[in-house]
Amino acid sequence: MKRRLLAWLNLAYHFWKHVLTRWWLRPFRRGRDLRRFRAQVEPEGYLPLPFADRAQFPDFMRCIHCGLCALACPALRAAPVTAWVEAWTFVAGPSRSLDRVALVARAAAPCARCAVCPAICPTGVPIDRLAVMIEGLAAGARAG
Amino acid sequence: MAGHLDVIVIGGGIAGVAAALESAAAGAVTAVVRAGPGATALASGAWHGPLPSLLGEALAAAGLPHLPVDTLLPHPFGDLRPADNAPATHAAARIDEAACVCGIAGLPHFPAAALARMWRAPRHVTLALPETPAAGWSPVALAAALERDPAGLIAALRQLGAGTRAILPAVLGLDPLARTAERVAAAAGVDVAEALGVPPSVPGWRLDRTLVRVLERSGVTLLEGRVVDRAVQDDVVLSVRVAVRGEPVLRELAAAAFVLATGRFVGGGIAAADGGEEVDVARGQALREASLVERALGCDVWIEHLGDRFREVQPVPLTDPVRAEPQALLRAGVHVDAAGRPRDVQDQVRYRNVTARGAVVAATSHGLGRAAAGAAGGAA
Ligand SMILES: Cc1cc2nc3c(=O)[nH]c(=O)nc-3n(C[C@H](O)[C@H](O)[C@H](O)COP(=O)(O)OP(=O)(O)OC[C@H]3O[C@@H](n4cnc5c(N)ncnc54)[C@H](O)[C@@H]3O)c2cc1C
Ligand code: SF4
Ligand code: SF4
Repeated sequence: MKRRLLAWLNLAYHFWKHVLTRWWLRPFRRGRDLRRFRAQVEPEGYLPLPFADRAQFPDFMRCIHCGLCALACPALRAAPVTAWVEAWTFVAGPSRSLDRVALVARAAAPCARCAVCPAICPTGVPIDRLAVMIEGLAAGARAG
Repeated sequence: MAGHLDVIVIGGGIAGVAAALESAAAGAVTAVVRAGPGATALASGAWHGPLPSLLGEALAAAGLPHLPVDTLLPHPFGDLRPADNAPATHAAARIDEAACVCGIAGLPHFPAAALARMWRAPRHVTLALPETPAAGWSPVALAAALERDPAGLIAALRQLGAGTRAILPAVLGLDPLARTAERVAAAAGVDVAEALGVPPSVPGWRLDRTLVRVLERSGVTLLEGRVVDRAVQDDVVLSVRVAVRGEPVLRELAAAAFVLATGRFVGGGIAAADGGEEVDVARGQALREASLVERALGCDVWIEHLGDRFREVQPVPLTDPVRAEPQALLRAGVHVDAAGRPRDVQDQVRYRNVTARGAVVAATSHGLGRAAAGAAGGAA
């Protein structure tokens, strides 16, 4: 009971502190909060996605991990010694993570002029669009 | 594709190819319309069910002979699985005193020591190839690399000594015509066999490629495209409209008879209805309420769910939270009569000139052989 009361008091204190010291300052802070937010999350590997990118995710999430895109991929077959991220691992995997985005974007480079795997995907994942999005994320990560 | 067609097979997985072979052998002018690889291309290399002799001979002639299996085959999940037939490289993967489980450095999901323990194989080793990518091997990249140049693998296998049977992951070449396993075995002086595969499944890919070759060799026309619509008169399908890959307008193909071999969920034969978007054009009726649809010919989908036998007016939950038995959803499909013709909700034959075959048929059990067997066999 006592702990609960303390918790409520603590919450009320911080709420009013926020209202009195921060909230009315917001118009003057112009993007500082966003910069602070990004500084917090980006080292962890999370990039804020623009709405248009986020709207594509249901299409990407149709992936059933069948691996047919990898089996059909000409770049993967031509890779004798270089590492190559299979398309489905970047469809399925955490391609939003900053630390992986650069790696994945390098791997997705051959996708620019290739439409082999989107045509073979049984669930119609637009893998080519995902490659474009990842390139964009990687460019954003470099710029930011 | 010009001229007259007797039979159009919709779908080019194992069921569609088996049907097309039979039809061509009976002298019918036959075409296969296939959207792409389906569940057949995900198979592990173990063939469950009977292997029809016509298909078995055609597979052998096209470079992928299958042998009867008299042992349990090692699966990379760690268990030993029964199979009725398998391509020669898998059929040879007997685990006994001669077996040595061979992992490959940099290839994930094939831990030789753990697998040897689970399969009870006496020996294991992890082979290092001369050029291992820093981020590891994809099975696809490795299979392609070994097909091009197996010298590194041969050198590593020589160390095992004669009389050894090397049990390798299923990466000995993507194209069975390259005979990578045979080349490796001859040069290394050891027996070479492959464990089963998991997606991305190299054995499944080999089978799928070989099926395309089988069609080419048997005089069946193969059209890469998806049947999106059909013209129906009374209870007869007159023609199908096909979105051919790379062509902007639909092609209309007429035939006297059609085989529906579009597979289940992976193949795309059975799909969830997208709300109001799915419209059964032939009947001019919205399928808003249907929870599952058969895409190519609009046959009714039978769902074995809590006593329901066909599509429900209300959306039904498609899975059973009590998982004591395999999910009924995995047996959904079209219901057929003894001749393999799809039946509708009233139990009447839906189309007189259509037979369904393979995984699109309701309640077929899992397996390449059961999908390849004729209509009656598929409906078991
Ligand atoms: C992951 C997985 C692993 C499996 N492993 C094994 C195994 O190891 N051994 C075994 O015996 N069985 C295995 N099975 C079962 C076996 O693969 C299937 O039962 C069998 O392949 C079904 O064959 P099918 O020809 O009926 O369907 P599919 O192989 O799915 O073929 C369907 C075909 O129809 C085409 N198609 C669909 N809709 C249209 C359309 N509208 N127009 C044109 N074409 C269309 C598709 O593109 C495809 O070519 C496995 C299944 C799965 C899902
Ligand atoms: S082919 Fe499509 S469904 Fe299959 S793994 Fe690739 S993206 Fe996923
Ligand atoms: S689009 Fe990219 S991942 Fe897909 S087949 Fe082409 S190169 Fe491979």
